[in-house]
Amino acid sequence: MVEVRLEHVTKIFGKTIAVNDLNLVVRDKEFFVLLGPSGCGKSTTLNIIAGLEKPTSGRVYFDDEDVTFLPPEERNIAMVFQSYALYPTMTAYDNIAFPLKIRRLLRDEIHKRVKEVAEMLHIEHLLDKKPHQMSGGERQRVALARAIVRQPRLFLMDEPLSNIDAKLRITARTELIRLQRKLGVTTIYVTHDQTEAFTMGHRIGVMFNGCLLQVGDPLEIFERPHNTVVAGFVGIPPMNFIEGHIAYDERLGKYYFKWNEIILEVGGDITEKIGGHGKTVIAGIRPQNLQVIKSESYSKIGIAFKAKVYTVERLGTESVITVDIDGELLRAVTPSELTLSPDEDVVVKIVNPQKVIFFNKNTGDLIT
Amino acid sequence: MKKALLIIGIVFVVLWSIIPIYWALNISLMYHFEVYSVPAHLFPEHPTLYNYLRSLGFSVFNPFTNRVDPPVGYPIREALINSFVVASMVSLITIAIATPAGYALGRYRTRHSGLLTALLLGSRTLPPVSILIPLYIIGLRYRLLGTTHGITVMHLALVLPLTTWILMGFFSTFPSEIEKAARVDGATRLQAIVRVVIPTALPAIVSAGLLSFLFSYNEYLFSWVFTSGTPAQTIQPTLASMWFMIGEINIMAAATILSLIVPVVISLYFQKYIIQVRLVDPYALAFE
Repeated sequence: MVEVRLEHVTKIFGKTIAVNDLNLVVRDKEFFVLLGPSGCGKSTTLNIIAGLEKPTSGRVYFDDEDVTFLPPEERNIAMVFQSYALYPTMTAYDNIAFPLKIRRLLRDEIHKRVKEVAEMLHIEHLLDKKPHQMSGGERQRVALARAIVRQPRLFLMDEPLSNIDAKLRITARTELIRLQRKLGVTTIYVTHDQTEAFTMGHRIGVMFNGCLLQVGDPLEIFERPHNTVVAGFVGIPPMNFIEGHIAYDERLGKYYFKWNEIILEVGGDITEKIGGHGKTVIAGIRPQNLQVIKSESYSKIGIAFKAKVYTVERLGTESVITVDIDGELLRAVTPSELTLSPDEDVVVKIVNPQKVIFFNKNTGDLIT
Repeated sequence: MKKALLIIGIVFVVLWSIIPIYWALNISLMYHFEVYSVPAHLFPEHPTLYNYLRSLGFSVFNPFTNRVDPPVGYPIREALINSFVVASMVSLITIAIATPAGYALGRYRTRHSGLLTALLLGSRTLPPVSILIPLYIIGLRYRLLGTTHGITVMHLALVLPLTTWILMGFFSTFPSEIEKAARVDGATRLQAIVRVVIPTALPAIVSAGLLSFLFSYNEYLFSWVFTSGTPAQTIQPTLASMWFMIGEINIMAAATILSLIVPVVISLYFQKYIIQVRLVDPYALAFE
């Protein structure tokens, strides 16, 4: 429907920089997720795209049209809010019909469109009810119906699922994805929930302190985070960071990352960028890339090191084991069948050494 | 035990405040000779609307003196009408001014809004008497003394800061997302206010209007200074000066009860509205 382009958008409230020099292109028909902790400026960015806030500097384009100073009512967009923002005095029908009434559509046409949308979202039985007579999930559907009824060129969603209970959220998520694919409307979705971001988004933009740190598809964000901030924010449980140094083995002519017992081979090109032998780097290892093995069943294959179990958190299908290596705590995900108890001696193995990534110690940036 | 004490307490408080009104009602239904009976009658022996009709300007036949008594020579009916007109104008103008003012102050933070709100509240901390003399001088200069519109203006000066303050408080808790939603849905700023914000805020706006109506209707001091002894005299100074002008306590009681009708009806309605305000509280709605 429309491609959204933000160029050097900055928003300053008093002394705080809410959005800092943000550049972004959201492609036509794309489901784009802005992910970040609360207060990172993602909602402000959404409000700027909606026209509810004016950027302090920078430009916003819809396709080639400069909409930076266009008021929200002239942008032909729809927005779903975290609180749903239904009009309390109106019935669901009037809520859904509001965008059409304000555009002075004919009564029959309004009726037809509202019925159509209500059918699509299975809310025909709610049309005569007022918002305070509905449950959270029902309100969410009505808010969604109000957004899609007028066939906008862009959907903006500000944490629309965070106020409904966990069970309903999963069905609502799949329905939202299905709906977006069906309607093919460009969607920008703001959330702090990474599960939502990873399951819904074609692409994800990670925001932190007003800065857009990385834009990419979910796998890219997960496996090649641009810096330690993104790496630490994305992934459950968070990535393990260990600070070690580069060592050169003259006998084999190879570079290694060394920390305690861990010795990992590092490609020559990476070493060149860091500066060679003796330099300190940060290695990032996903908990999913660590395997905990009981000491007795350990056979010496692959890269492994000794550790002590610190805590065990059972999550049902899997457990998160925190292990202690010389005072450094690392997390690993294991199948829950493995029964471990605190202070037990174990062996931790790096499943796939190629997936270990390295960050510059000073800047925190990914070394590629 | 605790409950019993509570009930006794409530009964005491209710009786304490209701007995004077009951006594006025009792006397207002008696002929003059019965008022001073010893021991006093708890209920009128010959209940009659004689006093009410005479207060409202009718001649009434008195079966005990076998005479037709003329209406009381005092403008009670006119005072009731004056009060009603003044209070109605005050509440309508208050709504018209305090709603946009409260909205603007509650919704937008500007460089001067701190000063403005401080002034609003500050003007209410002064005793009203302190602005009585300046206002009297202004009234004298602009020929506002002894006129209905004059006392309306004076009451507005007293009631507007308070109602603006109340509505400002309401609008500052009003979820801005509702208004944002209306904007995104295609409404201009004005359309969003007229079609979404005002209907949602209606209970609060009506409450503010009723509050200012009651204030104006019940206000005594300014009404006395600005209207007593003129055709614009309102009901409160009229009731107060009847003692010297009429001297018939049963007539005074009837006039008092007549003056209570409007505020009582409004209070009953107002109470219902307060409950409604809670029911449609948009804040609770949006975030529950």
